[in-house]
This record gives sequence, C-alpha cells and structure tokens, in this order.
Amino acid sequence: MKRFSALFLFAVFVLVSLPTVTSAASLYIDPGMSSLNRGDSISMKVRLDTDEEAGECVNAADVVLTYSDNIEPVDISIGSSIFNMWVEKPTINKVDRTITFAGGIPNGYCGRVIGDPRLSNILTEIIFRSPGFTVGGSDSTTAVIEFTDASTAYLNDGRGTKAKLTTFGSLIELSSLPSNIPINPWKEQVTADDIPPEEFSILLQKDEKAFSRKWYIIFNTSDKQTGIDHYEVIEEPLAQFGSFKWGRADAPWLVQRSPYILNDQSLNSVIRVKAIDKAGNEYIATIIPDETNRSYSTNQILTVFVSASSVLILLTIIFLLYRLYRSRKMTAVSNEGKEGEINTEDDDTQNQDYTQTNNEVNDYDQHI
Amino acid sequence: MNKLGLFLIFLFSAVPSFTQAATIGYASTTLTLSICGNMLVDDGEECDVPGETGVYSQTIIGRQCSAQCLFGPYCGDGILQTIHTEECDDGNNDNGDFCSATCKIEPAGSGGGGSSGGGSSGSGGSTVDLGDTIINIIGRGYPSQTINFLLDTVSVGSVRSDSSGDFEFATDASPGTATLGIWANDSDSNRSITLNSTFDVTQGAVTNLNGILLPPTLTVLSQNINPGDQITISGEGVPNTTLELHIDDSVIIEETTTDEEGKWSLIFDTSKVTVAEHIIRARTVIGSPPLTTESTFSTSVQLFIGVEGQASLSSDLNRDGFVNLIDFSILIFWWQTDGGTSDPPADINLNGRVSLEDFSILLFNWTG
Repeated sequence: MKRFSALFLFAVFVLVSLPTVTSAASLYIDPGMSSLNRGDSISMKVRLDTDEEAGECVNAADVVLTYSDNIEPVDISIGSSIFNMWVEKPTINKVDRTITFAGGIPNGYCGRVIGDPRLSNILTEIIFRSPGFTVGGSDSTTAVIEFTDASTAYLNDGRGTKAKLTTFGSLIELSSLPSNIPINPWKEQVTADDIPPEEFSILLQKDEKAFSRKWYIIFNTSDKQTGIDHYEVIEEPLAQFGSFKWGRADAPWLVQRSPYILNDQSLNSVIRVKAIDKAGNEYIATIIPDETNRSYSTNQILTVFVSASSVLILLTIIFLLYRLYRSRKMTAVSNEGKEGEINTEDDDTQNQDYTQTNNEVNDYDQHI
Repeated sequence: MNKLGLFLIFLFSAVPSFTQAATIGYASTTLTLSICGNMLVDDGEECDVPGETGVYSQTIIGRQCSAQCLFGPYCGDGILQTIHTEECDDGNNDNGDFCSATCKIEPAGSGGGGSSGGGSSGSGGSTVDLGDTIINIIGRGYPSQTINFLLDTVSVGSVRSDSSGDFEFATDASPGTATLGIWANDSDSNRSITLNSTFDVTQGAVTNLNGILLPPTLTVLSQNINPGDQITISGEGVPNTTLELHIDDSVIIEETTTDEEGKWSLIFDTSKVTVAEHIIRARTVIGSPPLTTESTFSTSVQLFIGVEGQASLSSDLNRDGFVNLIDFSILIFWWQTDGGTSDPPADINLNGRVSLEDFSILLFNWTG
C-alpha cells in the first residue's frame, strides 16, 4: 500500500510536470513510469524538449544519469538520436551506476515539426533489464532512473549559453514474478536490423598546429536502426613493384575512433574504415592517398638501401673476382714468359730427372 | 442544471484569459458564446455529449467528448500522444500506411503504402516495392540566391531561388530521424543562420516539408558603439515582408519591411537602451494579424554600447572557409586543454578551457 501510494505520487508528479508545460528546455526519460517482470527488458528513451514558444534551440548536452541497483543497463543505442556529433559516446559505469554522454546537433534542435509522425527528440536509448534472480542487493520493488545536477544543455545561440533545464526521471515497478514469455524489445530490434550504416567518406587531413603536424583521418556516419557500435581502421600497404608490398600485408583491423592519426605517415597505404552497427552490419569506406602527398616511408628507404647495398656488394664481389682472375692471369702469363727463358737453359737437367723417374717405376713393377 | 452552471462559469472565466494569452501583441475582438451540455454542437464546440468524459480512444469512431465539449484524445486525431502509447498518428485508423489502425509504427514493407499505379499483374509477391524515400522542401528565402541544404550535417545540394525568393528542392534520404539544415548567403555574401528541422522520414514515402521561411541576415557596421549614437542595422530577407528587430530577448521590438529585392535597413537609436552589452536579432513575419507566420530568429549580434567587448571568435579552426567535421576534430584534439597553439583558438570563447561551450559555438556556426 505504501509502495502504491509512492508510485501514485510519482505518477502525479510526472503527469503534472510533463515537459510540454515547462518554459525551459527539458530532459526526460520516456516512459516516465513502467513495470517489468523478472528477466524482462525495457527500452528507456532519453528525450529533449525545447521551449518552442520562446524560439529556443538547443545544440549540445552533457547528460549524467544514475540508476538503482535493482536494475541493470545492458546496452545503449544512438540509432534514433538527433545528435550527430559525440564528444563522449554513451557510457555505462556499473561501479558508480551512472550513464554519461555528451554530444550535439549542428545548428541545433528547435522542437517538433508540426505533422511529424513521431516524436523525433531522442538523444539516446538505454536498454534496462530486470535481473532474473538476484542474491543480496536491494530488495526494493521500484527502480529509479534520474538525471544528476551535472546534466547541462547549451543553447544554439553562438555564445555557448547554458539553457535553463528541467529534468524528469523514470520509475520502474519491478514485479517479483517472471514473465511467461521473456520480453526483450531490443533483441527483436537488433534481429530485425539488416541495414548497414549510412554511406560515408574518409577525410585525410594535416594541420599546422594540431596532431603534431601528422596526417590523420576523420570519419563519421550514422545507423538509423540500431546505431553505430564502433569503427575499425586498417592501413593496407599499397602494392609496389608488382606483387611486392610495403609493410605488413596482413595488417589487422583496429578498433579506433575519429580523428585517427595514421601509422603510415608516408601515405603509401590504402586506408579503410569500417562502421559496424549494433546488429553487426557494416559499411566500409576507403581512401587512397593522392600520389602528390606521398613520401618515402622508412620501409621504402630501408628496402632501397638494402637493395642498393646488395647490388653494390654484388658488384664489388664481381669486381674483386674479376681483379683476382686478371691478376692470376697476368701472373700466369708473366710466369710463362719467365719459364720459357729458364727451359732453354735447363733442358738437360729436366731430361735427366725424367729418366730417373721412369727407372723408379720399372723397379716397382718388377717388385710386384 | 448545477453542472451546466458550473460549465458556464468555467467558460466565462477561462475564455478571456485564453484569448489574452494567445493573441499577445494583436488586438482581437472576436467573442463567441456557446453552451456546453445542451446536446447541440454550437460554435466553438466540437461535440456535446453529456456524460462523456473525453478519455482516450483507440479509434476515431469511439472518441469521447470531454466536459469542455471538445473531443478527447484519440488515435486518428493527427496528434502524437506518447502518453497514450501512440508511436505515430497519421490522422486515420487505416492499416498499411506505415502507421497502423492503433497508431503503432508499421515496419517498412508490411503494408501496401497507398500504392500508386496499379499496373502489372504480379501474383501475390510478398515484398512490395516501396519506391524512393524522398524529402521534398518548399520554402521562401532571399531572391535569386543559392539555397544550400544539409542532411544530417552533410551537404546534399543547393538550388537557386526565384526572384520572389521561392525555392523547391528534393533529396533522397534514409528512413528514420533526420535533420535538415537550410542556409544561404544574401546578395552581400552575408551568411544566414542555418535553419534546422528534425523529423522522422518514412521509408518509401515522400516527406514534404512546407512553409520554410529562411530567417533574415543581419549586419551592423560596428559592434562597438558610443551611447546615444544612431546605428544602421541592415540585412536581407524574404521580399515584401515585415521584418522585426528584437533587442535583448524581445524587450524592444522595432519593425520595418523588406523591399522587392529582399533588402531591409533600420536606424536604431541606442539611447533607447542602457550602457551595456546588448543582443539584437531579427525575424521575418508574413501575413496580417491574427494569421501571421514568423520565421525563426536570425543570427544574434552583440552590440557593445559604451562598454568594451569582443565579438565571438571564429569557429573555422582550420581556416578553410567552412565549419565542419575537420574543425570538430581539431576541437576534439584540444579538448579540455587551454587550446595550446591553435590559431584561431580552439578555446573559441577564450575562457581558458576547450569545453562544451566551445563545442556549442562551433555547432552553431556549422556550415557542413
């Protein structure tokens, strides 16, 4: 009874203070009230409303949410978010039981367009699950998700003015009964998503002041179903000299985020960025650096040096061998000349030796 | 009888205050009298059914009349009521038009989608060709100027407005939440604010965005002014329309009109305001009271009247003439630092730290 009246009071509070009647920007969680059976999941949407009457537009927000210990956040989707740029992607901190994110929308969000069939004001979607069975912890049957005072929003006024902000959390009534058929809308959404992320291109940049004057790439895309999960980058060596490749041909995909400073600053690589959504669908963008921007890489210099050295050593060896051959030949020719002169003087001596040798052979035959 | 009396008291007490709130700034003498509860639908009443309470109905036929003789909320009233778990409301109770009879989003391909052109036989076929997903934009801006369009921060094309400032543009889009930005340079190359609209795009359908009014441009020769000086404020807008100049959150509103070429100018006497920093902004007003349509506000300009002040610095951090993803990546590089050697400073508002304020200013100046 006590729990029911608390729930009732909260409901009254939520209904009375719904964002539509406020005169400031508001952050709120939709649904404001819900109930969950054990093991079931629910998608909670963090939404933003602006003061449309005052012509207010909001272009950035930094949000910090806390949640009770009897409920568990399992995933976050930015698929239907109105934010395109993220300074800090939504992050769950299970130790502090907080969910934080900071992002923005260029030129601001100015409220609902009349006739829009949906309420297009989602910042992020958080999937919470009621634990199937718990040992210890809180035995409270209500879970609360609320914004902390650190949550801020900024007006699209070109001066970075903080918007007057009101926040509305959410209350979940937790049933002790397990549901007959587990409800998991997020799983259904992920299963149904077979559309890859939006096409995008990679920008290759170099700045005189930032990134230590190194080449870096920029990329950004969205996935309007389950949202981008992460990006992966690969720098594949460009083919040179036919089948020979610089660097590692089996370079791995690395999980990275934009901006990304390239490993191969000589730009002798094909750069690919893979955007992967929560359902595992992917889109790969590729950029081949312009030849005019390329320079010699350490590998190239090393290979050219090694090749040149090898050729030089080979030539030296050939030259030395040739010199040796020539030298020997010259020596031989010179010796032959000298030998010719000696032979005319010692012919008798040589004939005597030859006679002696023949006699020794004859003695040996006789002995056998 | 007692109830009827109460309603009459309610109506007489409520109607004048409503009229006052809704028509601030415009004289209105229209007065209507009706009796709610006599089972006759009088002027100003939508229904008159004693006993009905106006609770939510899932069908048009089952809609309830409220105690104020207005229909209560129902699926099919064309108003999205998330509090009653509506995911959409397209003003009917039909299935197969992307919004179901019970106001739930119908997944793409699940319905016939109104299907144009019967044509060819085709037996059954489980998949329906939904056709292109298109956004069509119709609006008014500066005459004979290039109007630029951004879809989810990326430029998707431009079109030239005619001599009356009218323009029409269509672009392919992905289904889901989309943000369309529109901007233009006036004939003096002054850039307008980017007019943003966020809405849901339905797959296989043409989403029409009508009635766009590009906010005017606004320029002053100098932002540092001596108290009491008269300054000329000028710009460009939709031709032959009323232009309102708002000073300091509409504390003072000056009015003028644009000429056939869309140009406007106004002499403002600064003795009307105190010695301080003031903010001016302008908007276009079309039509005559009480049926007027206002554009959103132009870029805000700071006026330093008798005080020292410095206008906001550039958000074009790489000085390439655009504020886009590259500038965002440079801002991220200097994030939570003092901006280091960045030039122009990444610490755009010069408060000593690159933070969300600077991010917000950059998003305000986004050109794509």
